[in-house]
Amino acid sequence: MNGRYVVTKLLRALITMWMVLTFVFVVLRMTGNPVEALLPPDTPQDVIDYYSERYGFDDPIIVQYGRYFANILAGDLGFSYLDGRPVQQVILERVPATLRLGLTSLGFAVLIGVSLGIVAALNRNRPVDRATMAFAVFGFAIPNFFFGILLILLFSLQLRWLPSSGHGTVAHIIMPAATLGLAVAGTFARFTRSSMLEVLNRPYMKAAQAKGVPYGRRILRHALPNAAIPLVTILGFSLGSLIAGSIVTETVFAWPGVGRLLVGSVGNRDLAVVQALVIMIAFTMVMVNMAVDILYSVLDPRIRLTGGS
Amino acid sequence: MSDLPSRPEDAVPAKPAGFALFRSLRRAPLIVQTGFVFLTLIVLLCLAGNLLTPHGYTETNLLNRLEAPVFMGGSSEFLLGTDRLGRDLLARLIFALRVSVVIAILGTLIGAVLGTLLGFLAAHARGWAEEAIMLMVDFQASMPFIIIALCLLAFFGNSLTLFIFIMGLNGWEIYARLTRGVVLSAKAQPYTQAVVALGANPLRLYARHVLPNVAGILIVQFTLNFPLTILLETALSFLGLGIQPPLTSLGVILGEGRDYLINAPWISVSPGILIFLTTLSMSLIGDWLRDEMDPTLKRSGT
Repeated sequence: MNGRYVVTKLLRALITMWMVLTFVFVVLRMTGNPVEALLPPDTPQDVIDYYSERYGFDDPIIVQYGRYFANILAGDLGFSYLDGRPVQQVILERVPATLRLGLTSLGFAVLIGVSLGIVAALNRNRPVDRATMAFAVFGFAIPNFFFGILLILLFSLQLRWLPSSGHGTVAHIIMPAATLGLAVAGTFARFTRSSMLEVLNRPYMKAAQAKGVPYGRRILRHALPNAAIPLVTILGFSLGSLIAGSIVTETVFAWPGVGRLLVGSVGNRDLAVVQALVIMIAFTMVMVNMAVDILYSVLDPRIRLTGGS
Repeated sequence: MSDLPSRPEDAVPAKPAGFALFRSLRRAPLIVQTGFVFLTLIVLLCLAGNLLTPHGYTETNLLNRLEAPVFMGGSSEFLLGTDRLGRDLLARLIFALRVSVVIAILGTLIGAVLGTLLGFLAAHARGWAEEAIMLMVDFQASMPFIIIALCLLAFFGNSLTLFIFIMGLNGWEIYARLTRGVVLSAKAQPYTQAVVALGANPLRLYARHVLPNVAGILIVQFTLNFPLTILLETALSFLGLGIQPPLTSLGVILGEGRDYLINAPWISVSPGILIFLTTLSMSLIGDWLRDEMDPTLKRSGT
């Protein structure tokens, strides 16, 4: 393992995190007095003055900037004005639901997407291939909120097979996971197909065939592991897509997760919660992307030797 | 474009770009041609759709609430049915389509201009200015844009001006990255060195000599970014955090229809179909244009 490569990636992640935090800090202060923004709109002036002084918003901006970082590092993200609880508590109780939905969707997307991609590549330019690529384009172009509503119309209102909202049982998660995973499944299908096509033409595939390796073993043991390496990079992209998608999907299916919390907090202008959520999402994105980069370099030595661009 | 007059082949030099596009469109896959047909229909609907219905988009008709569309057993007075206030859905859809398309065009234009200028600036200035711009590019690319959009909407409070500005921020980083890359490679070409040697100032060099060379890539990016902007706008409006009543957009109507899925599913389905057709046809055309302009893809036959 190349130490310098990891350090570079770590530095990049730190810089990105610093930019996110600074972005939030600057934008919140551009709105005027942050206390007025963070407290309910009908707060009396003496309460605003009290909190301005207490949180030190009368101090020079550079002092505030330093304290802002200190607070975040200490895990102090403020209070939700809706129910007065610490923001961490409000958010953390929503995380399990989001993780359950996100991981189910990702599993579904990888399973469907990769299988479709392999089938498409093995049947290049035949109807199966065309249908798979049509599915990929469809999954990418259909708005997820519309797809979710179509699912509800079909499976909840027409066929009455699945519940349209709520959580708890396996039946509850099917439609949200399908809605959230559709676009990612399409992306995986597309990339698996092109990655497989590239690998199938390599000399070592010819060599395996010449040696008399059976067809199924050639595809699964020789082609797939090599084709799968570039797919690791899609994971990072998928995470962004899943986070963005969960905001809409959780709202459509009334799923009690972080995405719905964010929508509600933006609607109510519960800024302490919004600020903390943005920071936490950014942190997750940065961490996963760094992990993906490092994993990729472990799987593919060419990346860490050439520095990976 | 299908509405270009078909002229004899020897007239080609008069209008090379448009005509070449028309000729290659005739060779394009059926699905891309279908995309062009859909897009033409949507443009027509935007321009002249109000001729299809006698009703205004805010005109309420409380005696005719939640009427079904004509093909689902409703009256021919309201072709696509009515909503909870008895407003003609067709009239509302056409107005909403105009709002969504205009906002997407404005947003995509702002993003394209901003991104291209920053890309030129980065390639011209180099040094710390370039580093700073590329750092911003990385920052934007590292976050799902809807999060940044929600953050800005929460902090500043929603307004139409802010909303359009946010649409403009969506995707600027791709233009910046593309422009910077192309300008850097163009600056190494002999023709730019020749132009500089002839005494052209940087502004003239970029505007007259480099921009025409990157215009193609930027136009393709525009067609790819446009559907993403529509999706972002309709998603935020659907969540109730975008376009606010009395103004409406396709996402707003879809969101309103959610409460009437049992009695009046058409309120949600019709704007959904319009959004889907618009984004799908633009993506198909964008993908096709990108492949057309990339000779390496054509040769390998993918």
